Amino acid sequence: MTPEQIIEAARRGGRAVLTEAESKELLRGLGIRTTQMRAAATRDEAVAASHEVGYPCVLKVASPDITHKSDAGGVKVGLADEHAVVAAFDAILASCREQYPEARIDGVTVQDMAPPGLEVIVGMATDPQFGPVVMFGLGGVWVEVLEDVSFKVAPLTRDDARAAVGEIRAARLLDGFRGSDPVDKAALEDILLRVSEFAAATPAVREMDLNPVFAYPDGAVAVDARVILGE
Amino acid sequence: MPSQTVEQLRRICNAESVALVGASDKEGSFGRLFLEGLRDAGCRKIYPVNPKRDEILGITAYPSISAVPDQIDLAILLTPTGVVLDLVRECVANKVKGAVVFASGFGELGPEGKELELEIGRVGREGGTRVVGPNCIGLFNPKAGVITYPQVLMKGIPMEPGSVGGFSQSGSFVDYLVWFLAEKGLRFSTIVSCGNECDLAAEDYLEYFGEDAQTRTIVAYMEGVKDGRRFFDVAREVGRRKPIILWKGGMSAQGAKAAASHTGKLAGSEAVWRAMFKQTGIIDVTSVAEVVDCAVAFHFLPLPRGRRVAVIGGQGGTGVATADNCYALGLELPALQDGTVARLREVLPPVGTSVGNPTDTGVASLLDPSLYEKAIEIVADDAGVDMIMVISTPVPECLDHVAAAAKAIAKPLAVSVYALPESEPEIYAGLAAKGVAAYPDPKRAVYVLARMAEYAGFRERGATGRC
Repeated sequence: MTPEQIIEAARRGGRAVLTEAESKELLRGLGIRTTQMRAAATRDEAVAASHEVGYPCVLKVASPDITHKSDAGGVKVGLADEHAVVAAFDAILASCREQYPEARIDGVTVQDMAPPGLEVIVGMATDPQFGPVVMFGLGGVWVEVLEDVSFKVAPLTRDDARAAVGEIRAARLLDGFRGSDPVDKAALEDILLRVSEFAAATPAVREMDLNPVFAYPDGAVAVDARVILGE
Repeated sequence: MPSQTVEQLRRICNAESVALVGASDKEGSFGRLFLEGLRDAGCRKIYPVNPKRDEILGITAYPSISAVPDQIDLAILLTPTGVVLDLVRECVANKVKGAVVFASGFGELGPEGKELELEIGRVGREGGTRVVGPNCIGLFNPKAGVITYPQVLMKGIPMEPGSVGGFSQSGSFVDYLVWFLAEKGLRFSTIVSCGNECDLAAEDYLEYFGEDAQTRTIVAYMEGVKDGRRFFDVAREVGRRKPIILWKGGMSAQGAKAAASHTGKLAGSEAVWRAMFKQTGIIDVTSVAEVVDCAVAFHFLPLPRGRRVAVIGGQGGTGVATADNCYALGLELPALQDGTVARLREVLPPVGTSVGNPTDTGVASLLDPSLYEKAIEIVADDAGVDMIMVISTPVPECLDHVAAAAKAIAKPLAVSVYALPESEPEIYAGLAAKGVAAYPDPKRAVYVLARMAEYAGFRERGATGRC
């Protein structure tokens, strides 16, 4: 489906928050790399999907009603084989059903496990005065602890994207430290530019989080994503 | 190509015929002050409008706008709030190009006033009479003789035209701005008081100043923005050609809002304004002193090529502390090139001076004030130096030489003088008259150089680095 079709489908379903699968499909439609995902409603489907994406893999609960998946015990990572996948499937469903008895649970998504990279966030929000703005910062849990982020009003020029990446306090981390290789800043700028272009052209989207994005010496991958629609 | 709004504003700001609705000869009335103001400013065609009078202060008066037998470019409405809408309708019917609405008591009082104000704006905009205000003191364009301010506020303000354009959403700050900048030797193209912006708004004035050939430097005070997208687009375009010095009030007023993402939670009003400043090259300031200091520097000095500053201090020597100020604001103090050092050694006596960065002309410069000028000109020739920061004694002969050097070199020079403006105002007046960017504190001089370097970098990237 195209990003527009994904948005339309969510609207028809009365949902303002796209699922992780929808969000990532939308991002791939924009040319942004994400982890691979397969939907699995049953234990057997989960095992079959894990063969497709390869080991180690990740299982995440698939539910339109659960947005904070980790808090609900709905994420298991580093699953090395079929047995681990089966055990993770059972554990996720048990935990989520216990914590969210009202939630609609479609099963799980099986995802390939992106190799560890520097965790950054790319986001988008709608300012009441200036419209769509794009954010870059240190990602994962760091975004909440350090709030080390920079903003740009969309649409961004390449120069704006470069500035956004270079302006955060921890910018030196991106250039490599203690022997680690510098990350591919051009790939991060590309993601910012694609999100900016999409946001500027799509008023229906109110907020986006690509968090974390794993940044590597060569390329970057969105590991989790959330897209929120406006009124 | 300039937009229609720019063309309309050009006509308004350079109005050749002005109707003053509510003109009067009653002592102490606004109607009289405005009329005298227009007359004294040299406005060519003044049409006082007052249904009870045939003439006012010797000028033929008319009972209504419709009765004026001429094309009116600008109508100044001094009338009470209740009749403004009808008057704007009359302006539209008579093809008046613009109206300045002085009355207050609109949107600032509540929803009812807001509705009336919006209606006035709509009627004017759609009908071709663009509205400045309401709740404003209008325009000041000394070259065109268009001054819609009460004359009492204008007494003593230099009337020769200049190249600083300004707008302010605070009416009273317009006056202070004009006074303060005039004191520093700056002169104006046009200054606008935006008022409640029922029609024309900050983004329109910014676009106008961007296009106005007479305006080289733009100074503004804002608290909010009517059309943020348009403001961003206009500022981004204008900022690449002319410096925009903006004092933005109300940065932290907006509280947290409901957001479902990390990005939404972090995207507060201040973060977004600051992002906008960086993207548009706007020189954002946060005090009267910074507004004035930056306006002086951007107006008088050429833009630097880079961030490398050479500090030259005379007797009194706070060069080292000034170097700290430079580093703190991201400026660099390069070592002077060998040739520069050799030439400095030739002119500076060996005792009581030091050559380098900073260079200290020492007590010797009191005995021979020309040392300042010589040292500055030598350092300005150094290819590794982008700008010069001078710390000078207040001895008039020394300052004369600093001023002469500032004029002679092609690089920006800011000077900090060891004299308090409140005790020795004549020193600063003298330097302002010579177009020297002078400050009573090295830190303030370094601040403006840093802002200039930042802006120059923005312009440079804009010229080469866009995708």
